[in-house]
Amino acid sequence: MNLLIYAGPGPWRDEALAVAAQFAGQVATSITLVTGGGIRNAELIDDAVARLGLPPDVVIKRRVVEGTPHEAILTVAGETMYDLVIFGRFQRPLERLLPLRRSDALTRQLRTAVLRVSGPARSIRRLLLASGGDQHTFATARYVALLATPLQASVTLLHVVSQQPVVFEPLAPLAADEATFLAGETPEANTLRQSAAWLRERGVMVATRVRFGLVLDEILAELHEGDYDILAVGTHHAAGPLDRVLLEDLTGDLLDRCPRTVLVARRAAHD
Amino acid sequence: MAQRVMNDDDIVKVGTVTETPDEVRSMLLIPGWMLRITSAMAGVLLFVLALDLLKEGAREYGRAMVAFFNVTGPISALGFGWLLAYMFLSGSPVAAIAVTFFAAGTLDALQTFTMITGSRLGASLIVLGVGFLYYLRGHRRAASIAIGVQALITTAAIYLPAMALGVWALTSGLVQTVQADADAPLRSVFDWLYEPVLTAIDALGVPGWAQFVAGIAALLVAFTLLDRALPQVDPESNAFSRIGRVVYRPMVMFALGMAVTSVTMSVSVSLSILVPLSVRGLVRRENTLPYIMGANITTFIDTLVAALIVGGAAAFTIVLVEMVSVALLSLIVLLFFYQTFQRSILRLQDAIVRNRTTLAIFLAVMFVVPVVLLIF
Repeated sequence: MNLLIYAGPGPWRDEALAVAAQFAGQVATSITLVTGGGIRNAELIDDAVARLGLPPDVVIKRRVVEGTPHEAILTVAGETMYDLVIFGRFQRPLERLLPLRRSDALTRQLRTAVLRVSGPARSIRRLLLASGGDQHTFATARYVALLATPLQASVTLLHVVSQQPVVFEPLAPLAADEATFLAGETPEANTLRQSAAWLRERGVMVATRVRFGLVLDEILAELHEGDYDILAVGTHHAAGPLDRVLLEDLTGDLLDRCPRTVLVARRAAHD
Repeated sequence: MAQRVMNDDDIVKVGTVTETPDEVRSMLLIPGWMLRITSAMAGVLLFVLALDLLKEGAREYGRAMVAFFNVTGPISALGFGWLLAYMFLSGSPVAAIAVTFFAAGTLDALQTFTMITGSRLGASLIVLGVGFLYYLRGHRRAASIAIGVQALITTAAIYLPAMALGVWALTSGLVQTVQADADAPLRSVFDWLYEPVLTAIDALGVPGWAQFVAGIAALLVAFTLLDRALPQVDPESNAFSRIGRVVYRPMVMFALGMAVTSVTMSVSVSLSILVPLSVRGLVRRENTLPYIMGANITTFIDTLVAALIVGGAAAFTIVLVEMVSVALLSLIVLLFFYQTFQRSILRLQDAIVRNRTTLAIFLAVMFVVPVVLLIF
């Protein structure tokens, strides 16, 4: 994997490096460490290299860029294709109360998968993959497997059912409980089964959960109840400008509200 | 061939209609758009005639009816409108009746305002009532009933505070300056059309109560004709075709609910229109709530037109205050408290549809409350 890690100053810098250190040495073939703010922050990159404890066969590149952390990451990310960009949350806790300070601005502008670290650094043991029940789940599962396999972490596939029939006719039978839903033949249930099987083939311990209610609330509730270390989500529906106007940005909302580390997977052309 | 049937303002039905060869032939000979335009024109003409008949009947028998139901103030008028909506299985005719009562001097402005609010509350329960009958007959309809409950509690949650706002606006004199001047030209055109009809009815000595009943019948037929004039929705070429799979922005669904209902004039018909947009007849809860909120505003358009035709500027103002109050409350909720509001409504909905007992209790309360309101 070709990783880009932000090593410059930021409110969650230490935590981001601690999370990256858990798997970077095992999965990366090349790592680019970047900082904004110019030469005065160059020593932070050396500090990051020391913290990551990378094996000698991993190629390390250092990039010191003028400008803000956002500008630095976007500049370097635009130069080549990275598999994963890792950075700590730049938004401070109280800034979440300001409606215009969305914490997903950087993630939205990047074209690669992102690991946005937030909250206290924890050993990565449990990952929660929030699935929309469609084919994009496989793209997210691919990134999850890359992290879960070397760390021997378990993965829970979560699907939230917020749909309800509009009319009283039997157009749309809807399983009202988790077991019935998972045993059913809906496209969502099939996707969950296939994704779970795909992850198991790669040696990942997998559990499947189905919850009923509002998507955002149920994902956050499961994250809290299951004490997961990372939330993995996809971002794919906003295909065009019209979609960006019409569709709710659930990934953005999760990035805003999720107190834990979030992995935002993106579907590659070959997925 | 599965087809949407919209015979009435407030019942969602999806039935199977078998077309006879004659019907197929007639559909081939007469283009669909022409049938819809004809239905729309006939619906509008009948609607205005119905309002005239109701107004004539209300002059004579409205007071007796109001006295019989003991409508003495705004609260009892709220219960009156609510109960009448149950009787007519629809809200729009009741709102139109409220306006004609006002025009005939049977109800004052405040009573008219609260009766219109009651009509909307009653209409919301009709969606649920039909589902509950299915449910009692052993169908697995809990989730389906949920949308009826959602429509009802969303309407109540917005309309009741909006009613307070509207009452304040009407009693404080804030809206006295609002004028509507479209009354005269509309009136003159319709007078020319209907004066001979109404004169003939008078000449025949048709009693007032018969005119009132005929007006109600004409009103219901008019709404049926207007329903038939609805444009068809192409699910394949619609920006909202993924309404069951993805979550749209609340403001977008709010605007869609307003736009669709400005054509359908009925919240429940607007809800049924979501079906062809969704491949499996499912919509996300996140999408329906703001949609209902938007639909609850433009559902007043037919009442606004009725007010303009029979009640003049004063009646128009009453309905406009209702619309503006509901719109204002809805926008405040959407912009500032939407997440909390959404969670509260859906939690309440889940609690109500949890089992048959809770649902039956809820329905019982919904039937008892308007009766109790009549006492005040």
